[in-house]
Amino acid sequence: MSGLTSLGAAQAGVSSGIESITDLLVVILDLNPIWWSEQLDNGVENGNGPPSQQYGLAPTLDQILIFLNSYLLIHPGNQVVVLGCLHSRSYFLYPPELINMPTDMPSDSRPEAFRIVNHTVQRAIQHILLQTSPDGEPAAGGEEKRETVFVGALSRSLCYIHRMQRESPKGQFVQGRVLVIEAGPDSSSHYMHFINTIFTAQKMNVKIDACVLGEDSILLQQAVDLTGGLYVKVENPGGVVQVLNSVFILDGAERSTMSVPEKIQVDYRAACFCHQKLIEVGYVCSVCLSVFCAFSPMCSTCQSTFKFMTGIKKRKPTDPTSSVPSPSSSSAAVAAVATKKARNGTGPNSNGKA
Amino acid sequence: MVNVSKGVLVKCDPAMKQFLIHLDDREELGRKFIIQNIDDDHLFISKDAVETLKDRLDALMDKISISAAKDEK
Amino acid sequence: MTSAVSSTDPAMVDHKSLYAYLSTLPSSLLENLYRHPNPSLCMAIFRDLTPMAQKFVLRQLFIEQILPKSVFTSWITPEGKKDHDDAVRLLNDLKIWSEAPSTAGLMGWKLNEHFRKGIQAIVVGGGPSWSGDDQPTAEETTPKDIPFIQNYARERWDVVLHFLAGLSGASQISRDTVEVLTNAGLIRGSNSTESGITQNGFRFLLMDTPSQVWRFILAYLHTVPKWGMDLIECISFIFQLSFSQIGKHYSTIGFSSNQLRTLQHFREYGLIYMRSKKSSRYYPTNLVVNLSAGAGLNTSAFSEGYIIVETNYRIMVYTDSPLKIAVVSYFSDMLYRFPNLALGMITRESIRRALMKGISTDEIIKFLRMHAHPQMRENNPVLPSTLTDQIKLWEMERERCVFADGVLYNNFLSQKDFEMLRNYASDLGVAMCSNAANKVVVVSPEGHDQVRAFWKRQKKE
Repeated sequence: MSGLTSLGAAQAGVSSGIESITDLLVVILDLNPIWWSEQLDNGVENGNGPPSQQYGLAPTLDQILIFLNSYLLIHPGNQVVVLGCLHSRSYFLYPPELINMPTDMPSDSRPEAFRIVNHTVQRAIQHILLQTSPDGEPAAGGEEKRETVFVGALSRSLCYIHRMQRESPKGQFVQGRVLVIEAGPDSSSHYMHFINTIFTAQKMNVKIDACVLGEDSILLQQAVDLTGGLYVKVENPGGVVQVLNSVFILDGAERSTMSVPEKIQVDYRAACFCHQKLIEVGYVCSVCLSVFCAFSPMCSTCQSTFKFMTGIKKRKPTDPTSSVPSPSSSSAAVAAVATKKARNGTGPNSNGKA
Repeated sequence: MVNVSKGVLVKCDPAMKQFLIHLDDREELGRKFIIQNIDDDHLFISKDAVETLKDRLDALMDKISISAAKDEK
Repeated sequence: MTSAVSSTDPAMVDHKSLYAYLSTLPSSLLENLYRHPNPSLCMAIFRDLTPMAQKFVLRQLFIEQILPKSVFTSWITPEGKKDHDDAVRLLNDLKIWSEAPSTAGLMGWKLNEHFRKGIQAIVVGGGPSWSGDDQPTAEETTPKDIPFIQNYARERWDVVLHFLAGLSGASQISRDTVEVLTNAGLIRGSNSTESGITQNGFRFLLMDTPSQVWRFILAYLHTVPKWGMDLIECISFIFQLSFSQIGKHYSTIGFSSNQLRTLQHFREYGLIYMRSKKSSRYYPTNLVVNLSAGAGLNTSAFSEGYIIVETNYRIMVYTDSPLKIAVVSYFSDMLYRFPNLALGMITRESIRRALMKGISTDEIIKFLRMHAHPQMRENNPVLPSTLTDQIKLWEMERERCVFADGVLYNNFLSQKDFEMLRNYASDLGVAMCSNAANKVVVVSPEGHDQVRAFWKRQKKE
């Protein structure tokens, strides 16, 4: 009769009183219109290439919707949230914040719940793209417009997951994860916010997955590596749905039973605070640890002054006026910015090859 | 000559087995019912004693258990 | 000290999942399942598959060629081997997969074409709609809202449960329903000497509502062939209902006579609502929606809990429904009744009474957890462990002595004789117990004849 007190616990399931776990998947779509239209132009130039070799927003969106439907099909308790990011702003596509839920949908072979999600996402995207037409935007900052900023969407999705966890009834636990589908190139502005968001996701046990359609994204590689997610760069535009349905539909527990793409070498170069450029060797303030690429007499973050080190003077032992810096004053130090990986001990290639 | 007998195999814990042996020695059921003492956990008894034995065991468990006091008005 | 007698009636076999039920159907029926153009069945079956099986199907969904078996094994890690084997067996049993040669000549798994089309229709869309036209008509000028529907469902389902618990007479429900309940083994038939609820009926009353509805539907499906209705059509219709949405109303135009008859039956149980028998629109209720999801989604029940159990074994039932109080009195001694509260105690006698009725302690504990008052849910664990452990101890008390018929072989002349007999009996698997010191072997009655014949042969040599 050993373990009597475990008699009840075994019956009750998990000892902390959790009776059911629901999965919440947040998908962040990159709606960068410049990148998407560039793809169409490339397709027109190539002309003779098969249509499946070129990206278009509408067909890719169809494939993503198929993936969402498959995810909802797997388990009745699965929930999905879709955000779109455009011009460094983020919008909730489902549940919609800018439009009302559609009520007059034509019925077809999809279950009603799926149809609602699909139509809402499509209508919301149409609404957003029509509202923010490129002519209305000022012409300045052309280079930044080309880049995708999704950090706002990322933090909003973490807030949403947290809210769902708090609002769920007792005994039900919401397990969230985030899938970022990025098309355009990275933007290294807002790097600080981005890193903070990733650490928050780490604390919340939320995995961040990345499906990259365009160029490799260093930010997403770091996010995936720190939170334990998956990173895949899709080569064939027509095969997006197969990648999504094979890899990204697996939840945390299943990733240990099915083989997933290997971990990649991540480029952990930091971005300097003054120019947001990624650097390998730079200057670090010894008070607040902010990184600079060029020397400056004062740290811009903590306002501490740096003493100018002019080379080692040969000191006479009895000279009381020698300028030995006292330990309390701050000093700039030249340091190699080869930061260790946050998780495991192996360092990255010093060339930063991704 | 090998002996073959039909009966009932009883599997229980050693404490309960001792109780059964006690009943058997005292012939409380009217006769001896244990055919063979096999090992610490098993006994072989005759089939007709089974029902009476169950009643005696129930009575024993009732005797040694304490019921919560009910409100008496 | 007898253990519960479990009915061998297939209707009451524990069909935890759709798969368990489908595997009892003859294979010819299974082949026909997928030929039916309705994708709701594919959806129900897909949801019921194991996660690994679901992933396999999803990966195959858009690949036209037959994939060799080695491809599937290459997709898993060593930890997933068991899941892979289970999934292969499951998909073959349900006839979703069949063996066929791939283009390279190796044997591969072929996805059933109709099943593939069904799933594709669900996730891609563009196919014909499931239910008929679901636009509102002029007849439904004041559509019913969700609370009304839920109330109606609860009332009607309670009527069925009341009848089962013996609290109301047989005049309240139809004869067809009585037939279904009898076939399910929940009440005794009218031709037996005693009438009333059976052991399985008690256990049925202790289950949570979605499981009850699921069991009931299974019993209904078993009775359907007796009424001469088409089983496949019925199954598809039921799943079509289960994927509808609450609060919407659908048309009955174009329904076959079988479907209309099923609709009338379900109206009685509270699974759907219709204004009148002749009405041409129906509303699915919360009982039938999400049917195959089982108890996993029953989050609303968390807030409807009405039982508080204390560490001094007192149980307080905050309700005025005679059904709920009757169910709790199956395993507790009721002491007082107030207008909105019933007070009782869980005692050794009351638990033993329940155990003798055939209810297991697992079911009792599950029932208490399910209907625990929201205030109890603050505790961790929800039910006091003293209580749950003591209930289990009382059950174990009854199992202290286990009796089994057997045949005793003793008085062997030599150690060798004893060992020969014992080894033979244990090779056959019929040796129940043996002891080398006393040289005794106990053999089960089924194996006794064989062992005795063996011994006689040995004696002659």
